[in-house]
Amino acid sequence: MEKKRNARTPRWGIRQKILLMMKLKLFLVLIVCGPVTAAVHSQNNILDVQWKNVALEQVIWELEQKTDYTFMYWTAEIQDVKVTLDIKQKSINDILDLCLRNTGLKYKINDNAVVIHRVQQQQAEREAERIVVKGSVKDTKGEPLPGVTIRLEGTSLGVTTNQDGRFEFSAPNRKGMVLVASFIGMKEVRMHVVPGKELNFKMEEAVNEMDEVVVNGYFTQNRNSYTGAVTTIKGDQLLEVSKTDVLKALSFSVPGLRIVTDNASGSNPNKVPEIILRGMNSLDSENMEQGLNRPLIIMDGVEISLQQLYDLDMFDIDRVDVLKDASATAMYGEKAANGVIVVVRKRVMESKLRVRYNFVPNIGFPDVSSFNLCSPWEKLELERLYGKYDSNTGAFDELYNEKLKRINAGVNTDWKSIPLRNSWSHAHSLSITGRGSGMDYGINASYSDDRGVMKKDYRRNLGLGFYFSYHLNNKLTMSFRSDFYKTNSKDSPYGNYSDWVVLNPYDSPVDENGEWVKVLSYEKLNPIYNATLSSFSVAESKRFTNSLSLRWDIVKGLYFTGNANYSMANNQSDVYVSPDDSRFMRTETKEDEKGSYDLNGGNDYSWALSGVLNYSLSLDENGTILSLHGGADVSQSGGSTFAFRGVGFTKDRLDDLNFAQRYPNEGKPSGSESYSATVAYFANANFILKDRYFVDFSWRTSGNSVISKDRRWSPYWSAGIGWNIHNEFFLANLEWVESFRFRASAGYVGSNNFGGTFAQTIYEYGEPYDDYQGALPSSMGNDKLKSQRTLKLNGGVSLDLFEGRLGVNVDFYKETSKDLLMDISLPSSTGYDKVKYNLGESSNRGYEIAVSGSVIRTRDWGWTLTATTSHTANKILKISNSLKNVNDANRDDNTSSPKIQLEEGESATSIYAVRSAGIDPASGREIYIKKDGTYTFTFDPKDKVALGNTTPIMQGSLSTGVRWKALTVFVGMSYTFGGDIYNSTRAGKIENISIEENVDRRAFTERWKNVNDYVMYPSVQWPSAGHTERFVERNNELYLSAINISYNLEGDWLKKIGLRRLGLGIGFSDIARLSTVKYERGTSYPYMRGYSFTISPTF
Amino acid sequence: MKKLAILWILAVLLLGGCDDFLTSRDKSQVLEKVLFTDREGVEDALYGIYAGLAKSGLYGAEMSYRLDLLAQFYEPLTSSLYDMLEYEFDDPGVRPFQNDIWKSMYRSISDINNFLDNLDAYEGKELRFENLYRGEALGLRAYLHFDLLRMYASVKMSERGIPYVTRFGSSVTSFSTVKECYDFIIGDLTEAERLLRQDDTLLTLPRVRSHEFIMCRNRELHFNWYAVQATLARVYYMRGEPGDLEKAGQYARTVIESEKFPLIKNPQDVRFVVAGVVAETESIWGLSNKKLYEVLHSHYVESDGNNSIAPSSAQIKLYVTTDGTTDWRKDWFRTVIGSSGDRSVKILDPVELGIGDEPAGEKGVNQIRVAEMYLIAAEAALDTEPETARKYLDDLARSRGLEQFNELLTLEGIDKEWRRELVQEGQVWFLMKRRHPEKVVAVHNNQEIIMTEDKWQLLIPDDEFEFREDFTM
Repeated sequence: MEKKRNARTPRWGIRQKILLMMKLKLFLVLIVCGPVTAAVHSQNNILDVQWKNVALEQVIWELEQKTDYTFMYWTAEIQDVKVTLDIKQKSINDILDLCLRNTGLKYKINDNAVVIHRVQQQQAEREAERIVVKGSVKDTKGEPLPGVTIRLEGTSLGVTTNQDGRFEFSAPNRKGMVLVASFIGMKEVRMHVVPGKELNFKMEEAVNEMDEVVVNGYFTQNRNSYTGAVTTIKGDQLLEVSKTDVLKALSFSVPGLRIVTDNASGSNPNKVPEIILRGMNSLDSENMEQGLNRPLIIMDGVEISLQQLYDLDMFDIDRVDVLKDASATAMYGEKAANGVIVVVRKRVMESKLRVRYNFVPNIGFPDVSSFNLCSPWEKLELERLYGKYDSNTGAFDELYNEKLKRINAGVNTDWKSIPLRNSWSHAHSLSITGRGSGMDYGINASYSDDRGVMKKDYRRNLGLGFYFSYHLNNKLTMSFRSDFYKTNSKDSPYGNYSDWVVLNPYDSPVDENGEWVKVLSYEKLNPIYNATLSSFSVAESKRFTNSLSLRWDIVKGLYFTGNANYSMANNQSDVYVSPDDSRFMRTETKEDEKGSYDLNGGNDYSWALSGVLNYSLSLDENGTILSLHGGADVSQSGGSTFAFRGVGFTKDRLDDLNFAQRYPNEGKPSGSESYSATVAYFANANFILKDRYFVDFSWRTSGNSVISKDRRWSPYWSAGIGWNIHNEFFLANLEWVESFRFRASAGYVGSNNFGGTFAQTIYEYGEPYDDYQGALPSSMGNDKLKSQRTLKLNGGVSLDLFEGRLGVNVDFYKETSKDLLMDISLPSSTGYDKVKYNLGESSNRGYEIAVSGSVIRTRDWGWTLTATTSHTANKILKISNSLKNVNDANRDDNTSSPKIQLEEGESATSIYAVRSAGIDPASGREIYIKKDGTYTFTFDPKDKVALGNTTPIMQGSLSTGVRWKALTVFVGMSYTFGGDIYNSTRAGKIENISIEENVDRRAFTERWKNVNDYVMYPSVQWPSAGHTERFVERNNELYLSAINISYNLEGDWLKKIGLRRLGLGIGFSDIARLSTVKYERGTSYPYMRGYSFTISPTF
Repeated sequence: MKKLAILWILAVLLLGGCDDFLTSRDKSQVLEKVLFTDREGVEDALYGIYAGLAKSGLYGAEMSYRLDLLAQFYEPLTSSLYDMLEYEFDDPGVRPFQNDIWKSMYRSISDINNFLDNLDAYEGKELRFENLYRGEALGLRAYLHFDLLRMYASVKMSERGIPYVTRFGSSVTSFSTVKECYDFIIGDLTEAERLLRQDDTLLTLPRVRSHEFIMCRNRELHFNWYAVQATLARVYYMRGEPGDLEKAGQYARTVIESEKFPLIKNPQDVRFVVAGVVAETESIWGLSNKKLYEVLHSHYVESDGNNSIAPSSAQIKLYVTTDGTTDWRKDWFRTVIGSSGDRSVKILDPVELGIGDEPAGEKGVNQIRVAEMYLIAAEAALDTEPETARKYLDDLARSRGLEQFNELLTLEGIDKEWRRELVQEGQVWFLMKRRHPEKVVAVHNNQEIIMTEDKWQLLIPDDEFEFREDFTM
């Protein structure tokens, strides 16, 4: 990384631009394969040349191309020299001798650098006047920086610093000489030369450096000419929000990326949340938001699952690029419709051995404040009001009195807190990196033990990885990375939280003798009893991944990158239900069927190869650049699963599969095997004219095993345009406009998240016939099936004002998905009920705004504010006949909250319920409004209309960071506005209550009792018969999701104890919440509030 | 740039021939393309079709059970079956079985069509038994359509029939008239007849139980050439156009005179001749299924199931003789362990029931027995050669333990014999439909039901019509 840094291409002389390009290319090198080292050059170049009246600058350029030499010269000195030469088989020295004949120029070769200078009369004197400037370059932490380019301003003369960050520079003495130090990722520094004095440069990291490129997983693109919609988040920014929850941090920082609300699962660590970027493209009435609309996740060029991202060590993340529109995602073609998240892990950036360690302990507290349950007395009174003890004979009086006695004796069991605990979790992350002998290396280890707030559950992640990269002859760089991950998880034996909150407070869990009571009032089983048994539910998954990447610099401006990876994984889950479990007490289970052990598992593998050829050509001196990328990738994955179930356990503690007596009736082991593959070719062309106007074209065609043979090769494309207004003359003079860019894109991408083999008719082996195993078609393939296609339109503006103090990014989008895969119903004479067709259509439109400001930016103080907001609206344009039937069934299903109903013209997340005119004060009955507007007491699900939408009108985040010296405070809030919710707490725990269960307090207070009661809830005799408008509520929420305080310690006393740096931090998560709706949160697993600490020493 | 060229050549080589690479699959499944690459795969698919037909939801149990309910053979032990006995096909409780049978039958037809398509496209090593594969598949396609037509369409030639489906895929076949349907059926059967000539030598008496090639063993478990003849006899008998009865008689005689399906010699054996097995000598063809006992038991022996039935007293009376001989078919109705009162146990495995030894023949269910051919041949000869007719009926009666045919030599007499002989085999309702009486007596309350036209036709599922329109895409 020495001399080559100085290489310049004289033909395109403008230094500034070249430098930028150089930076970019070098940055790529760093990203893709780490820094390049100097190589030994062959000095015996024998060349054939032929020039006729060619400018010397051009000659030099050509020589640079053909040899390994770097030329240094004063542009002004060689300006008018022309060369005419036609020779063969000459060395560089001969050629230069001939070229410079009679020009008054001379040359000198040092190593592989050729210095050309004018010979003058007073040359000797001038030689004498040369001065030697010495100095060093360090970073802000005082670390010496090797490989920094030191250049004499206005010339191409320069050197680079050595391993100790020192340089020595010899130059003709002139007045007002300025040396410029530049280094990738650092801000340029200028210093005046003072003869006889050492120049000590101190370089700061260029904060915006990273923002200057976009990483799409295949190649890197210059943001200056990027037409796509992308949000880039640095690892450190994510850590500001959360140290352990990468999905939360991402959804907080990226406008348009949201975690699907799963109120039931709360803060269950073993439940991987679902994420959606922008809108939902695929339609399904069963699992709309589960997996079907999940973005593609790429880590270091390799596709990973959402769970892998969830379990990733956050300290290992360097940057995340979230690609949203067609222009950004077109390289992923058939997988791109839901957006792409590109994760890049950290690489070696420093030369010395570095040991970093992070320790994040975390304390969690259950938050069950939303459960507002009856007290024992209230509950008993409510039961009495419900007529539970009414009888002419007084038959229930005894029961009533018994309960009353218990209450008077002080029984008040807080069932909802029994399965809960304050949890203690911790995460460790260790990394060792270094560089030597042309090799970079790194070792990572991480371990986390995440425990939820329900007793005895956990999720433990272990990660081990190593990485090295090697450079060969400045031409080839190879890196290899290998990682091993293991996740162990255990579900709480206390089971479903909802089983606890329904228990009556006047019941006691233990009897007089201190034994667990098995059966409580109303024949309810005591869940504590089951929790004390040996039953368990655990899972383990292991993954081993290897990836090899290489970069080959073929000729100047042209390089090839390749990536090969292989990963294998296996997973297993073991679920044991004790024979003593209460579920076997009720039903008449035979003795040899009690207890069960389920063993499920599988293993899978995947490999992928990809290669990209990259070329960039600068066409003039004003920033006209053509960049071309083209490549191919091929991937394959497969897997197999197995499932066994054994029943008949004799003893609670004999909890091994070995003790099962047999398979269940009608049961047998099962298994499956799957396979899929993709082959794709892609290309991208980007052109920017005079640093102002730019266009971008991408194209990808892919063959996918999911799609039928005839339609297998489906092309995807995108086109984008953009305009750097800040480079126009009318804005160029405005100092305060750093950048002002318009961009727009359009294109088609696809989605294949449905998987499977719908395109082909599959035969399955079944029952034997005449002792011969026959096979029958199991499904009708549709050979006309093609990928779902989404037309994505995006327009955006990026603004950067006041030296980066104010940044604004706005994107508008519209996405129309066509050919959505759906079942369509067939007449049964075809032999089948349904076949998959490309039929549905839906559209999403919305906008995303991100504003960030650095209000104060001084040496000691810093204050930043950021705000993001996003809006998305979905509309279903077309659905199939079969889906309509499912809709009707979903509509009529009287579950606790309305099921998904998909209607053309409405949103996929609409809430359907029957309109309501409230409670009739005369009768205490609810008055429903039929579709035609008439009033009725009769509930009919056919009257359901879309009354709300769970997707909010706006949601986003607000955050602020304050820095004072080494102390920083970060506060993050998120909000949603304008969304609706079906309040199933009110519907199920106040109105349609089951009187044998504990319920919300309001069931006791707010019901209609007498004529002319104007209340929210109907009389006890007439609870609502289905989903009604009364429970559709506007859900505006403000959520104080994170406060993090951190302090970086530095100083000599640290060095004494062997540390270079020490970071300390404390964070608070999910602190407070303001909402317009009162409902039970975390019904199956409670939410958690947490305090986390961070201890990060660097050795 | 040479380096680049190498790179691209490598890339192309790597990705060449990626068609196979790009094909999804699953180990428990086989792609049709992969299955139909050799003899074994083709036979796997053919046996799959037979297995599908033999399922309890179709010919295994359901078909004969439901159709014999319609034939007023049984007294239901549960009132939920009454609507069915009164031919209230539109009743919500009666519709499901009609939907299920329609769907299952057409599913099998689509399987057959897929089989035929793949056979046409077959490119592998020459198939030794290609004629048998194609002949059996075409024959089965006609056999299924014929049963569908008899159940779901009118007997009038110009009325709406059913869709005669000959293509696999989501393209919808329109309805044909009854007459057109018969033409298609006869067309397929005639083609099958030509293709299955080999059965001359393959189907022998005694039956071939083991053979080097599985296609050559147990031919009575395949839709063989004689099954084609017998089916044609049924088809012409049912169609009843002028001249058809004679043709039916000729086909029936062909089967009888082949002497490959003799009636049993020892009348006492008749008790177990079709008991859970495809009758060793009398069955022209049947379906193999070793797992029927539980289903049949729940229908015919248990008394607390939704589908439990007992034989009607009228049926039991049919076997009473006055001449001192015994009609051994009476033993098809008896009390067994687990039943209270007489039960129809004709087609139940006597070993499982604990009433006898393992009968000869392969386990399964009969499709066409030679006895039916005797009855058809007799009716065909009734007017022109009454003596021949009597001979056929006497032969059958003697085989069952009687001296001779005791009824009058009339259609009514022959019909009684149908009821005696073919109970529990799902054929008698078709005979009734052919006779088309104006009134039928419901067995559960002895009420006369006025037989309007719609009482002779099962109802086609709604979705057959509902999605027909939608599917013009």
